[in-house]
Amino acid sequence: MRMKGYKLMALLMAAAMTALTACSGSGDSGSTTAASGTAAAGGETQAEIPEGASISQQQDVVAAVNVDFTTMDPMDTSDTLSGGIQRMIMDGLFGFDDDMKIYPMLATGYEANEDATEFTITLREGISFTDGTPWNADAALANFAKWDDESLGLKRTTFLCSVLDSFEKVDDYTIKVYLTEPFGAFISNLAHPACVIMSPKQIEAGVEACAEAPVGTGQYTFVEWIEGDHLTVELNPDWWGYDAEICGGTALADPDAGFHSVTFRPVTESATRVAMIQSGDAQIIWPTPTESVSVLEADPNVTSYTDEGLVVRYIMLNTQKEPYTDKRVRQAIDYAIDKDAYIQVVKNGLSTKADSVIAPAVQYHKGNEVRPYDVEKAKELLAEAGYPDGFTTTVMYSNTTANQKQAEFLKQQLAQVGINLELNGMESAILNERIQDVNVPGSEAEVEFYIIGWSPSTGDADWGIRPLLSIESEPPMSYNISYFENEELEGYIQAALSSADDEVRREAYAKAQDLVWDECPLINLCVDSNVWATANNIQNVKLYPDGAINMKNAKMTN
Amino acid sequence: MAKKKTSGSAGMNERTDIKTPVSEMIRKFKKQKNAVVALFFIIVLVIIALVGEYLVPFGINEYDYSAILQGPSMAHWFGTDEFGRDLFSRIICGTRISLAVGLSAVTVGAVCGTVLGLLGGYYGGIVDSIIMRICDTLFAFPGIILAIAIVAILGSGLGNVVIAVAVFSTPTFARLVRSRTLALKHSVFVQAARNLGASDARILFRHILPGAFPEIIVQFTMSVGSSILTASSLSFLGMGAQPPTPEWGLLLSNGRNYMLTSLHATLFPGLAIFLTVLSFNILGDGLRDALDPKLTD
Amino acid sequence: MLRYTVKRVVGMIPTLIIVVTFVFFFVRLIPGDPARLVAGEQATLQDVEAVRERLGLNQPVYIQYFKYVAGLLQGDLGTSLRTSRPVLTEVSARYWNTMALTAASLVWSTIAGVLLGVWSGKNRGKWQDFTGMTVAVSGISLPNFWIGFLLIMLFSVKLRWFPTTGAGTWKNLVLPAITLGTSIAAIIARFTRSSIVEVLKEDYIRTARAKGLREKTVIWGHAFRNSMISVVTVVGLQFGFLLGGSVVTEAVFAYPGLGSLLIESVNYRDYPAIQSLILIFSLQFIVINLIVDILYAALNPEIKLS
Repeated sequence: MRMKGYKLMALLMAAAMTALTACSGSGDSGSTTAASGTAAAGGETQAEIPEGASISQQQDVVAAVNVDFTTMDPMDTSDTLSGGIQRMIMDGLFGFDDDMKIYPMLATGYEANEDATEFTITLREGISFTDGTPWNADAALANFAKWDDESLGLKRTTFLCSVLDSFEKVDDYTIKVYLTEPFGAFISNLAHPACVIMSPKQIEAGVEACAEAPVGTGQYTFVEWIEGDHLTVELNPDWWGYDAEICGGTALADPDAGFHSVTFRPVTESATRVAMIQSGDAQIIWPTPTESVSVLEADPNVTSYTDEGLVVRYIMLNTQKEPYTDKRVRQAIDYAIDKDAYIQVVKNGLSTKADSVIAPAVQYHKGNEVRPYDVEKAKELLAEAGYPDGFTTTVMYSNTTANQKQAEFLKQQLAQVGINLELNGMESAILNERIQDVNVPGSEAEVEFYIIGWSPSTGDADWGIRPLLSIESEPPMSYNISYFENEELEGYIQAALSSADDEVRREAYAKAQDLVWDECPLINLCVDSNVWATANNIQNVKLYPDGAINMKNAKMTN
Repeated sequence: MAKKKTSGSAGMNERTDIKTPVSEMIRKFKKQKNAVVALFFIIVLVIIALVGEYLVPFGINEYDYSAILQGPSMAHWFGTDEFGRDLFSRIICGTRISLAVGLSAVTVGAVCGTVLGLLGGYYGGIVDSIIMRICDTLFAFPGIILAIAIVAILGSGLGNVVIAVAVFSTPTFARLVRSRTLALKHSVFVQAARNLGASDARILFRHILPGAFPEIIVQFTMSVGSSILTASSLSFLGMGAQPPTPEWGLLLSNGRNYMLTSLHATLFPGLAIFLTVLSFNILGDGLRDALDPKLTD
Repeated sequence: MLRYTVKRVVGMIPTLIIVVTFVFFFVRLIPGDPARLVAGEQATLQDVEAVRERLGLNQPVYIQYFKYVAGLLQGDLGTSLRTSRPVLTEVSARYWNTMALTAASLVWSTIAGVLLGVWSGKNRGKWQDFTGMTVAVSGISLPNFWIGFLLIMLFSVKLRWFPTTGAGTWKNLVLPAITLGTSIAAIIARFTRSSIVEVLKEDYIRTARAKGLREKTVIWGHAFRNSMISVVTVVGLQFGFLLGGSVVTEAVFAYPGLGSLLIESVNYRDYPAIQSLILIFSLQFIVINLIVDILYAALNPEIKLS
């Protein structure tokens, strides 16, 4: 079941990435005035730094981030932050360009058989790992062997390796991979950040060595990671990406791009993070708390950026528990929430209304008409459903500041239609235990009303719908906390999974999205924006839509 | 500060005679101007806690999305918060919650600690050893860490904060009462009561406890202040009150996200906590000076 | 003296055994599943189970306990569930940061506290006393995270004198140390004052004054020296408090010390890390108490070492 899911999910990835292109790289909504001490123009956009004029390669910069890193072993990484930094140190066989299009990195190309069960991958020549080990078929196979080793218990192993069967060396720069079943999007999986290539020497040194000190072929080399304090990477001036010849024509980055070193500091307090960029202690921060964007926009030394991301915020309603068994009640809640006010108050204006269960940047997204804010209509529906005076219900959520604010807002909104929302925020560890780790039918589950954010980390429709709404995903398996059980939806999901035809899939997902919109097992609140900020003499530092850092072509002036 | 005491008041016998020390205490206490001011402030706080919610200009949950995070003005004396709610009203209404948390936690801690201290001091032996080892263990953990551990197990929420704070204020009272009990156990009047056939319970609660009372009251007053601080630290770490409760620590903790734009959102809740804790501490100082015969010169 | 010390050190062992055992089972009482937290946000049940197996969390608790104790005896604190790195490496780097912060806080707060206390004490009942003690009471009444934020606002953002976060240089220490030390300074000031007041009443002070010694000599040479004993005790006892206070302070300044590690570890239910931290905290507390007792005995020969 799951294997099949992964297979097809990955099948869609390549196309999904293409779809993302349209929406990314538009970090232009930030605004600042003129850069200090340079000739940069003020206003909406900064002046381009002229060719070769960047001094970034002499500069050590500090980037403040919101959480600590978990590990430096890519196969064991489930957080975007750590994954993003790993992508700076290690290259994959395939990777993403700025617009998240798939791009050959350490591979030059591949051939697949008709069934998509055998892949022959040719490797790029003339590249070495930063520890001196040459990049060749042996190095590639060492990585495959690690990925395939389920005994290591690495977090991402099931994600990729459920399809790996065997692999072999054809010649020094060609390998052949056999899969257990057809898997057309195998290449997309290889482009996933978990599949970046580690030096075979490091792999040999063991899992702990990989987790502590990664060695790759990347633009940066790993210097040190002092738990809780900082992680530093240093420019690898010999990176093959600067060499147009090895790249096969165009270099991946301009010769003057990249920083001498980047030090990432985990700073949990968001006010402190903002203080850091304002005081010049950091040159890059992400994510910027939305409430501070106005402060940063007013700061002449800082540029603030906003870009639409992949995360959608939902209210999940337990459809197997009264009163949410009634579709009218669920719709009433949707009508009762003023989404404009939500975005204004909770998100400080920095997010967009969600018109589907998946974000617009996700492939096969089909928008629906957002239900207007209509208290009367909501009351009417509640009365029809037999709740003219409303009811009392409890919202469970993990008690981050952002969630607290959401919950308070929802309480205020629902009070207007007589629904008394009781707030029950708790630590995420406890929340998991009470919501995720329960193995009972929905009618017996504790959860009634739940706040969650979800992004298909693969950028693909399947991962945005199936884990949240299909029957197989009910806790404890996955995240169908609405306990939504709808055979029609199952049909659409299966139809989309078992076809490679673009039109068939598009139609299936369109129907699925229409159905979900009408049934309202979850209420779509908004699509989050990625918000980050840099000192305004820095350019080309951005976030991929999935929220990972992208500073491949970063430049800096005085 | 009191100048000269009228008679030798350090003796045990006089301590049992309640009336004279009380009037003596009041006389000494009145001389400490700042303690009197603090007491007055606390009385005002208590009145606010009781009737404040009927006096405030806005309801605590009365939001106005068009007036978010406004600075202090005539309409909103302390400005508004992130939902456009009136901060002044919320702080006034939060008085009851913050005081209640502090007082109830310390009361529970004082009662438990007193009972443990009386038992340990009076019976000695194995009972005493066990009680004192437990207290030592609790002392070995810094207060906030103990509170974090307890809240982690019980879950967040004000009720559990009260329990957590009560647990770590218990050993202080236990030690204090134990040492008083040890001193009073062999005093003439306790021996006399025992000879007259008084039960242990009677001796403990009618004869020994009153003797320990002054110390308990001083410690109680001081602990209320530190409990309010701890409760607000827990709210800061996300382990305290649930929104939209206008608990001061939570107000302060919410406001910190807007420190850079709206300092008032942290300034006023911070001041409320500060002044309240300050008053309890000054009052405690005043009471101690008034009750401690050694300090009366 | 030596016998006393040895006896006290040996006496620590049972306490430590109790702490180790108690903490091991105590952390497992905290609700929350580390395997799920480690597996990450979008993990499915299979992922969680795979992680659980790797972390050894599917073994019976008593086996985990014996493994832990066996590791401890060999100086192995275990492997962090969160980062898969040895707990010892994680802790040791942070340990010195916290020590530096604690020491810096203690040094300035002792100096400031003693000066304020002496000043108030020798002017007992005058305006200096009133002012000094009001400052001191204020010091223990401030929520320390609030001071922290105000300091960042003023000295980092507005004036840019000190960095907002991080560790390593003396500049990094200034703001957190002020935040952390404020209440300690206040407590020390109060104790110093009352002990100075006590001492000044003693006969030998009168004698010293009668001999016509300068007031400075009387205060610092006699009164202060004799009030040292109680000050030392207080300073020692505050150490434990400082470690606790550092949890909040470190969170505000993103200071990489044991306090912020504790919070992080609790959030992840990182059992080996929590166990080690609490062990370190209690060990430290016990050792400091020991040192205080010994110092106390050394400073005050009247106390019998029994």
